[in-house]
Amino acid sequence: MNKKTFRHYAEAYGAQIERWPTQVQADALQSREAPWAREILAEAAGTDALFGALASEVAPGRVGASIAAVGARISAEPRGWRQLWRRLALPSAGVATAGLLGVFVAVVTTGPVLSDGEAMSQLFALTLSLSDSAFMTGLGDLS
Amino acid sequence: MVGDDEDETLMGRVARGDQQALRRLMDRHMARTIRLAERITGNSLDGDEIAQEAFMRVWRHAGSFDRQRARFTTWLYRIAVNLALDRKRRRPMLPIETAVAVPDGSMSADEALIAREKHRLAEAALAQLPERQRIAIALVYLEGLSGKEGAAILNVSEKSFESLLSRGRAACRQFTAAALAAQGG
Repeated sequence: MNKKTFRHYAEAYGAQIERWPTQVQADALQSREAPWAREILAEAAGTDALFGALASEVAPGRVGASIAAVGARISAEPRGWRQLWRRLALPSAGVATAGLLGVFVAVVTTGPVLSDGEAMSQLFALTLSLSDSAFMTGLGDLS
Repeated sequence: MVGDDEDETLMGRVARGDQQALRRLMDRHMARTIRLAERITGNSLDGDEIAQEAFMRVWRHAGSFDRQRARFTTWLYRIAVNLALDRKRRRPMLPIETAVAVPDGSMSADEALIAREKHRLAEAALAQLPERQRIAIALVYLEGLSGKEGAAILNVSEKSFESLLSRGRAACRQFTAAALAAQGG
């Protein structure tokens, strides 16, 4: 690993090479004894020490209280709601999706829907034109 | 081989409504979640509430967890970070007062005083950082996560995450140098 790359990782992850991305650790360990590498690591260690001063523990009482609070909230949820939701939500969503898909396909693949009045007038016109043509055909025969 | 007690395996049980499995996950990760949320919001009460809400979401949305896409901890901390950022937008950040380092019992009074002063300086250095730099540093240096996990939690590339870390470290270094110079030390 060259100096520039070594410095890049030291400036991001600090002096502990174990913190660096696993894929570069082997290369970094081979370079760590070089004088320039030692200098870079020493500089990074100073900043690491600053963060080391921040290490703090959360009091066990707080942790226990939070765990108990989550347990109480779960217990307070409507009984069986969770199981019912899991049983019904997915099948219901499936049925609803299939229904919507069916309506969509029907709308796309069929022609425009006529009102009752329009249908009757079209049917009447068709009947009339058929009878007219039959009448005219008959007249033709007479002549 | 997948262990029965692995986080991701426990999540499978949580998705089937197993509260004991959730309890095991909370035993393992509640403290760290509280600490992380507290670090972002700067408020211990918010830290507790956010950690609790994060585990409630784990409980309610366990079915959507995909172990092929992320480790449980990455998923959990992402939830906690988002909740904390949301809370922080609604409330201004307050200095952390409760997270004072507990002096080692074997320290002398002088050593304890120096430790407290170092802690105060480090807190101040971290507090002056932009939000994302502060979170990146908290994830890696305080919570021990890898760069890859940190990048996934903040939803950025590893390169971008490394840039956040480098800039954050440099800013902290400059801040402490200036503070020490001002104190004549």
